[in-house]
Amino acid sequence: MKTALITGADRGLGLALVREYLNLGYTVFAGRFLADFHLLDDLKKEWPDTLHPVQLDVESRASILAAAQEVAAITDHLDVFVSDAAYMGGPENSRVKGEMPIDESLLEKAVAVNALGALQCVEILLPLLRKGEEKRLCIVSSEVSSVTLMQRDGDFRYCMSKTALNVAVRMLQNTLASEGFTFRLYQPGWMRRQQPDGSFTQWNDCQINAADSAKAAIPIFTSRRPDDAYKLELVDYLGSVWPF
Amino acid sequence: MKIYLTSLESAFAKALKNEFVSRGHEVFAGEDLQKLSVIDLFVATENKRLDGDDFTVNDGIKPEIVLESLRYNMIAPIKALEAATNALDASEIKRVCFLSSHKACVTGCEETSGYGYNMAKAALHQALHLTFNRLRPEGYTMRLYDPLEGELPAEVSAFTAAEFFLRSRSYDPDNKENRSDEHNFALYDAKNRHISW
Repeated sequence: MKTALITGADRGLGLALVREYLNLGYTVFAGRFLADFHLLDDLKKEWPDTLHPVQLDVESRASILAAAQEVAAITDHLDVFVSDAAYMGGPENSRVKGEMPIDESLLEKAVAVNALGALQCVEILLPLLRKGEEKRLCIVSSEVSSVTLMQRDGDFRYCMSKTALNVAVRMLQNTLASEGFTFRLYQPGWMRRQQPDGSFTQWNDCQINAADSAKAAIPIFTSRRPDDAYKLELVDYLGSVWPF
Repeated sequence: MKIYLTSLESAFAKALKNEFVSRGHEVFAGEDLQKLSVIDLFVATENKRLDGDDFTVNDGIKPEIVLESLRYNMIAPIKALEAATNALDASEIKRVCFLSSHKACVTGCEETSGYGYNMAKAALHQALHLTFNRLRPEGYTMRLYDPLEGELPAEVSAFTAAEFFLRSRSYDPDNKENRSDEHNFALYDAKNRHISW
């Protein structure tokens, strides 16, 4: 049995990735967090045996530990981990000389969810991942994690949290590559946000639909490369490589 | 020049203060920023791997250490800059300087521990790049420096820092966009090596 755990699976890219891995024949543990979203329940009707929604708030260590226990009751291993859960943030208040003072607590929250969340999930799931054959860790990052290509001058909260995530993934690789773990950092493109009824918000700057970005991610997430143990790169939905 | 250092906690910061004073500058440190009407050069000196920030993923991640490091190494410097912008706006120089390390860059990080420091400084890099983009059109310039603490004597690192912080970088008035290094957001270390992100 091939198994995968995907965080942030209530909607959008996370949900679309759940569907992709189910289609590939995986048993999928889908992290749910948003109480008003039931799209995973609808999908469960299609895949009653191989889809397992699990409560998972990646900001909470207790929640990750509980989810790991729930998974361990069903399987003794995880082949693939996909980190998709993210916190985008609210009003414009992480900008020097902005209209509002910088809100420190929201800077902490962004790092706690977007960087520490993935890091703690990997740590806590390691016993299960070590028993998996694939040992593949796929982390959804963002184009705004790239310091080299940062051209914005607005809010930095989300952007900085994704840069912190990238360096954390590098450090995980420094420790875990020798055990056969391999990593993917994915830039999914800007997508419309999915609503509780399954529809997507209108957004003119949208680059790609969540379903198409998930389809584009699969060959990247499932490929095997001779340089896997040595290289870390940020790859986008077009297959292009971004500088850090 | 009126120079403001956020703190004199580290040996490097103390050596940097002495270096500025020996060059005849007026140095303020850690005082109430609101009392200063003009700051020419702002230096955020917070740069420390905290006690307990020595775990690998196999030891177990300590989120409270990571967040404490974020507060010290990233949020404090940014909030200090936010508080200093009125005094910097009143200066014709408007130069802001920060400390970091090559260890916090994804490309070259070879560490397996120090998550708190590395993640906080990586976040700082990106927050500063956005801030640089925001303030550069107003005439601000920025320096980001790796003092190589522990590798070089603090006095040597402080001398190099003072040079890096005080001197101008290339500026071609006929080709401002392409031949002005002040338009580039970059990290240099105490050996004048340009560090890749």
